[in-house]
Amino acid sequence: MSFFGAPVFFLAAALFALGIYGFMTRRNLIVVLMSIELMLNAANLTFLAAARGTAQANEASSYAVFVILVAAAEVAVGLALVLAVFRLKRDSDIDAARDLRG
Amino acid sequence: MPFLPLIPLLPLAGALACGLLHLQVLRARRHHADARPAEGLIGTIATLAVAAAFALSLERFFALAGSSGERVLTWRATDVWIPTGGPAIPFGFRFDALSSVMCLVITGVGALIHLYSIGYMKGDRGFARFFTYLNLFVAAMLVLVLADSMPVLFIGWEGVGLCSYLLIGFWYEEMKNAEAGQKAFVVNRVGDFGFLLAMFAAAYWTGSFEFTGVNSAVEGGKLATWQTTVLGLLLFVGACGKSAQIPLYVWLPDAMAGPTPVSALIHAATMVTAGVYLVIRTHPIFDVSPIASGVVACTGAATAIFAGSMGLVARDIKKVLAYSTVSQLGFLFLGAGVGAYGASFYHLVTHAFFKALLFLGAGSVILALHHEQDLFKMGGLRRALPGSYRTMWIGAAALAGLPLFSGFFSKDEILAGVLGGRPVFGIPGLNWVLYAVAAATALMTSFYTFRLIYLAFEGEPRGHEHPHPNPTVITLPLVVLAVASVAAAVLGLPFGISHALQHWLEPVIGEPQGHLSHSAEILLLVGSGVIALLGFAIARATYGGGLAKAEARAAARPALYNALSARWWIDELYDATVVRAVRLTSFIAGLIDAFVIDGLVNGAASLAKRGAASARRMADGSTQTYALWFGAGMVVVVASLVLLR
Amino acid sequence: MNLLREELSWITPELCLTLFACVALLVDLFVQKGRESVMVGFFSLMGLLATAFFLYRQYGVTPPAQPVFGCMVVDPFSTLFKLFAVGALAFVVLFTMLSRQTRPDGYGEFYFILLCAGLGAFFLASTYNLLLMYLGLELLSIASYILAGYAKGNRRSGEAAMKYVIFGAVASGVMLYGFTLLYGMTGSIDLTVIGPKLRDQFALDHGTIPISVATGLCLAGFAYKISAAPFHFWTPDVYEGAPTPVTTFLAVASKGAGFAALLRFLQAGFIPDRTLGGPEAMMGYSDKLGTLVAVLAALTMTLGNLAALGQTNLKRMLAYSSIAHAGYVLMGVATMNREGFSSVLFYLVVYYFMNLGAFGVVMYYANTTGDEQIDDLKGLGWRSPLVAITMVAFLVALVGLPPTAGFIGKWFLFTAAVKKGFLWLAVVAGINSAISLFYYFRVARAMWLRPEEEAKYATVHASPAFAALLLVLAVGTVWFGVGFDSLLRYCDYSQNLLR
Repeated sequence: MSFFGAPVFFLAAALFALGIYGFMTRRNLIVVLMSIELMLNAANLTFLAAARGTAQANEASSYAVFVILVAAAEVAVGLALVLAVFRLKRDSDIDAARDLRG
Repeated sequence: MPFLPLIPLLPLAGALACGLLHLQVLRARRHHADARPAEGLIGTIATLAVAAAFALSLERFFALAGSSGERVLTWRATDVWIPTGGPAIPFGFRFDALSSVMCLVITGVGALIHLYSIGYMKGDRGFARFFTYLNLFVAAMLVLVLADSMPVLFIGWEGVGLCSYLLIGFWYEEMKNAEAGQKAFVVNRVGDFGFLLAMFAAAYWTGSFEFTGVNSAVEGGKLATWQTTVLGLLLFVGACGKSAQIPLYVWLPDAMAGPTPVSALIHAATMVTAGVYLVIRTHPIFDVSPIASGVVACTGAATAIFAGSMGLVARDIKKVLAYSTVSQLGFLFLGAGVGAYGASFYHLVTHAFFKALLFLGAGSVILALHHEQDLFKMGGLRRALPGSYRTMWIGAAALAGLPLFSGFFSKDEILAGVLGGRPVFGIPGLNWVLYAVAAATALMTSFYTFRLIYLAFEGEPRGHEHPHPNPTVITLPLVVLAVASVAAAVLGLPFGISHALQHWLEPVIGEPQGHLSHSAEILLLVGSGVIALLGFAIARATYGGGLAKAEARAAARPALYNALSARWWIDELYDATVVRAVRLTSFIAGLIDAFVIDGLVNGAASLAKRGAASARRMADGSTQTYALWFGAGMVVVVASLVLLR
Repeated sequence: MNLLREELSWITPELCLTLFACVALLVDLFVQKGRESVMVGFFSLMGLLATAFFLYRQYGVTPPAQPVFGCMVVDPFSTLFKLFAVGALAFVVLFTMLSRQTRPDGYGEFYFILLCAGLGAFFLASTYNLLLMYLGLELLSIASYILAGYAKGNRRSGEAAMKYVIFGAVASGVMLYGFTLLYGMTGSIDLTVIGPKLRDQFALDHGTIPISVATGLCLAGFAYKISAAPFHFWTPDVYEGAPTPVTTFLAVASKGAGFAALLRFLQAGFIPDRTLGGPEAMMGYSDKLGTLVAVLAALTMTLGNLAALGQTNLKRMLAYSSIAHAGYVLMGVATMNREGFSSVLFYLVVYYFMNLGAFGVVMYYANTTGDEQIDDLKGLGWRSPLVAITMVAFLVALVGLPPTAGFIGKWFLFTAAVKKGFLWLAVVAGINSAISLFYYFRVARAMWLRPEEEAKYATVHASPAFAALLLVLAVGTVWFGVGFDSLLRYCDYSQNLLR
């Protein structure tokens, strides 16, 4: 259980919390996407930190690589869709598109 | 027993065939807006389907009568229709003394009403749709009475409710009719809720969904008294909804919005008696619990007199009959509540005949007068519609309980049962009170029944001069039902001359409880006869001269004349007491209807509406708001896992 | 090499689906413009048929749970969900081919993305490896984002996709972080290893706080995927804005896959083996988790039903209805036992039929009228009685009335919940069912009312192909309400073997 006492774990948790906070409070679409990146990297950091110094260190690195790849794909699609909305609305505010509601 | 499932399947097949023919009509209407259904074909199919079910029921009935031993035919599709954690739910039918008679009444009266409907619905755009629903109704009703377990009965229970709803709102283009249908639907859901709870409670406590299982568990004393009381009361809530008892009676008068054959079949002869049938089917529960049976008896008596008094002043010919039906159903429950199940069932059967007859007769009048329903605009139809007049007179005599008509004997048996039966709530004196209430109701019944006859048929025509005569398909069922209304008397004549029905039912309901001495029986019989004749005499005296005369006399009421004329005294008294009492009670009922029932419904509705509005406001389209909810939800989920033990 | 071939043979359905996804992409390149939808759709259907064939061969496999590559398992549970996904995909492809909304140019790769999403659902259903679960989820999600925004230049479609991608990404991030915490605690991403390790930790009675945080985060992620409150807000917006075939896919296949993953996750890690007897602390934790899910279930069904009450747009109403149904299904999850889970499986199959049908009708209707308002359904019953009658069957099933499968499905969920002691939840669900009657009934009533202007849509009739599809679904909806024995047995059986 020593892992949960390690400083790097707290760093990861802080990153994650920061990501959630940004997602909840920021109005700019690009910043929201960046916050999501923070959360994914918090996960990566936890993966790597948890395996550090154990026999699974290599495995954990490969997990992280997968996550990085997926995150890239996700952000690519996300940015494309965000841009599409931006082109229609001319506004990068997250609440610019509010046609669907109720 | 492969025949048994065929009994409901035949009308179901008829419904399918009619439904397909209806679809065909709809398709044809895409090209010709006024395409007509093949009325002869549809009517024949539908009527034959029910008639065949009747023939089959009759065959089974004789097979049952010929069998020895327990006298029951059963059929099981599967023992495990729905597996539950507890007792499995089977799917099967049970054709015993009780359900056999019900089947015969449903299919017999049903076939006649189908035949009648061919004439009544002639030229209606929804002809095929009407017969689809009607056949479907018969099928569902047969499932209801044949069911050997509560869940199967519930299928029929919901089926008849659905058909009733569809048929009340049959002419749905008129908002009023559609609303009447919805009212019936909503009120019936209250009853259904009671029934469902009863079903689950019964299964939970007795370990069986089957009637035999539940009944034997109750008879074997496996349940505590409070449990049987709860069970009985819940069942009675269900019965109240279906059989229109206080406080759930409100839908039945409105249900008259449907076509008249529907009123005759569903809202007089069959569906509305389902509640009574249910009580008799589960009678051991009521035998054990004096509270449940007392509630049944008192509710029945209260409904009987209340609805009867409403019938005294109604002007709509169908409304008079509707209130009368509610009142007679109250009688049935009164009989069942004091343990006179045989008498109650006897009256159920005779009532099915004469009330169907009266409704069909009223329908023939309405049809002849081009859909005029106001009694005050009728009159003098005796000459124009002799067939309707004679048959309806017989029906009225049976309903009023004039001596030697079937209603006389069956009603008398209930009255005798009230005095001779088990004490209500365990208090012996109460039976006398209930007897008094029932006797007063009988007097009212006789009065308003003949008021209807006199207003419609005697005196001078007040409105329609030239009613058109009825075709044979309409008069034939009237004649058959009239004969049945007289002949049904032989099912249970007093002094042990004939207790055919009582003996037949004994395997199900057991020996009758309590016996009156012969002299008491004679006294009661004479009393019943006098009450009925008195009501008849009052009605004749008041309305015998025609409405115009009655009104003229009322307008020019010289004091001397008033004082001398007992008739006028009765009219005055009638006005002073009954009308006022009725106004008061209907006012109170209106208040209950407006504040309690509507209040509950509206309260729930507005609560839901407000909830719906705020639920929609939460989704305001803003991604930011959603993000806040998401984050908050996440925090709450994690925190509750961490913090709660 | 033989071993490799042996293991590969177990994932032929996945391989087949991948192959045909690529074929669809290639065909799109070579087919002349304007005919893509039909041709590519045809190839996709062929692929789905072949996949279904391979799946069917795995139907009664021995051994009943075959591990593959140490990260997946072929068992009745996954086969059920894969068949579920293939069937849903086939209907969605057919709907797409018949829909006008999705017929314009450039719809070739639509099918490719759809099949990829299906592949994601496949992995989600059969993996017990957390990383693969995440990858499957992302494959499904990313494909879905694109599909939701497929109507290019349509503002609503764009907005829907934007909302979907933001919440999807956050939810998967949250879930992934939960996974990494589990990894930190147990040193493995394999649920079959994590389960016993967690059991040990419970036995030592320490570390419940990290476990709680990790499971809470994972639960939030799953709750998003199955649109449970309060993580459901994206659902109505996305469902309304996306093209209707896509909505159908999201409501049926995507949600089903989410439930599959959730069940496997809970079963592997958090259900104590009651026959062997787990540690006391674990029993308590499992019950606590169940209670939390029960609360979420009550919240979900209530919010879904209430919001559905006031809707005027048919698609949005069905979106809220699908949220409410997720609430009912969660009722079975909350029991945290075998009976409840098998009732979940059963209900999902039922849900599949009735929702595919209902959305199919919406699509037919939107096609013919270009409109999705409930009020404009007026007269549908007179114009196309067959479509309207099937719709009534779906609505009756959605309310949960006999003799449809909806009734039986709910019945099992209710009994499972009551037996577990969630009587209050069953009461809430009962009230909710009563509420739902009103808005479903409104649709049925609208269909059978006569329209004021008879001639408005009088020329439109259902194409025979479409009517046949709806009829198949309606028959299924009613069939499982009567002859559900074999399905129930299969659900129970697959639950038995879940690891």
